[in-house]
Amino acid sequence: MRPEPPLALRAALKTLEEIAEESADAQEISRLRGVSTLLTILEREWDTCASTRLAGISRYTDIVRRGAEMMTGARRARLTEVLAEGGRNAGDYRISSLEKSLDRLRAAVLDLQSWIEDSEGPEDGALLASIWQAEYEDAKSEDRNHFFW
Amino acid sequence: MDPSTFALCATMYLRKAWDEPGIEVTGARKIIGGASRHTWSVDAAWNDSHGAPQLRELIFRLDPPASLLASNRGTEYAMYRALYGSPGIPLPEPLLLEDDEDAFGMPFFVMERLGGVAWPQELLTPAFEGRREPLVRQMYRVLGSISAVDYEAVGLQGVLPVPAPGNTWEPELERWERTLHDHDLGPMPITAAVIRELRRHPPPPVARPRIVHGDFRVGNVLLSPHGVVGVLDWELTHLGDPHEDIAWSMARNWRSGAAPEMIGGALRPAEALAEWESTSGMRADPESLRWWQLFSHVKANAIWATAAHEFSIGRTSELMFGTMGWLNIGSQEKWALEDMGVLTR
Repeated sequence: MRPEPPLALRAALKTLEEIAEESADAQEISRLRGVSTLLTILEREWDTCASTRLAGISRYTDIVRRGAEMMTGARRARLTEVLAEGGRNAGDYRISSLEKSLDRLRAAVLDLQSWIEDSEGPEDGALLASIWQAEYEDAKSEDRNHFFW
Repeated sequence: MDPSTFALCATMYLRKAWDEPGIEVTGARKIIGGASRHTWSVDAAWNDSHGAPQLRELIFRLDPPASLLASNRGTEYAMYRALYGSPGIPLPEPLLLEDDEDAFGMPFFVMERLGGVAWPQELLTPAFEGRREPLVRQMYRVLGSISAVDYEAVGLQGVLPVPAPGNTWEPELERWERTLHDHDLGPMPITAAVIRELRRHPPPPVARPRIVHGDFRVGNVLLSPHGVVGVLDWELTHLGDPHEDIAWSMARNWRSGAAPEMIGGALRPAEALAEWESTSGMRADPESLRWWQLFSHVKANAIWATAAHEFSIGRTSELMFGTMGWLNIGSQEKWALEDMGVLTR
């Protein structure tokens, strides 16, 4: 069985830890900590980096589709174009491509949200609630907070 | 720059600036953690005209080519000068302001080096056992003393722009909105929604603009087990609403994993507010606090975006700058939504 990349990343982290333990140079230790943080996140997100983005794309696509159905004119056309662009890239699973798709959808959601925030219809309210929830899931998937101290 | 080169440059500079040809600088070391300026600690020794040995422990604050914050060195120095000696506000003595880049290849200022520690992990060491709560209480009394200062009485009216009392919030929101725009990381619908919410519901006006430190928090205050030694890092100072400092200092960004509900790992927010009120002579307003709490998320994301942008365009190769953009923004936006109270499940 081939060693999984996270296993190699864990070995790299252990090596960094050993170097840090032997160092008395605060600056070097601080820089090693920075690299450790980066590797820790890569190790943690290795297996899920595509699936979390695909889930985000799916959530936002649903929001934009609902928004397109509610809008008219140029706004509807813009949202429809974003959906079509997403369809054209649907088979491209490179992370860079998924990120671009997410950003296109985020831009569309940003516009959609600013259009409906001051509306008072029940459909607007329901869509806005869905937007908040989708954004929350998106933020949670990118929540890499570690405590300051 | 390596420490020996820095010591040599500092020696040459101080000999000229203080007209003391016998000055020797030793012990140069770069201080970790200063992301907005490069900070060096040195010892300068010489014999005075009577032959008596003199020693000054100094800090040099240099403007780096890339920074987390677009800030004005002259303003920061002016703050130290204006507030040095003010009761209840411990500060290092400001000594020299240098706009010329000859000495180090970048402008800088020099101030007294104080004792104490700033890095919050130090508060977890045995020396601070049983001392954290009184220290955090004192931090908020110091902040109250800063809020209480009459900016005209300390000569700051010509140094800091004076906002209209009814509109202290807008210049600040515009500043960080512009920073986000200038350091574009792609669409940020949550942050954009927070900005719209802040504009829709401005905070109550302040009776009179106050000195706002701009980055008052654990990490920017020097502490010893005996008390607050000095307030540092005045790069973001301005006149405005004192609730800005309270909200920023209480942000989740600066919390301790050991006690995430507590401010400074030791004090409940209501207790911290009471300490601030005891020296500021003001009452904290919940509506204002909520507005500035949301504002803190915009400001923080603008700072993370600046770091990421500086890294992306190659102005710095500091790893911390590179990771900030994607390390911090997700959590910041998650907290913003929680604080907005818009989530239904």
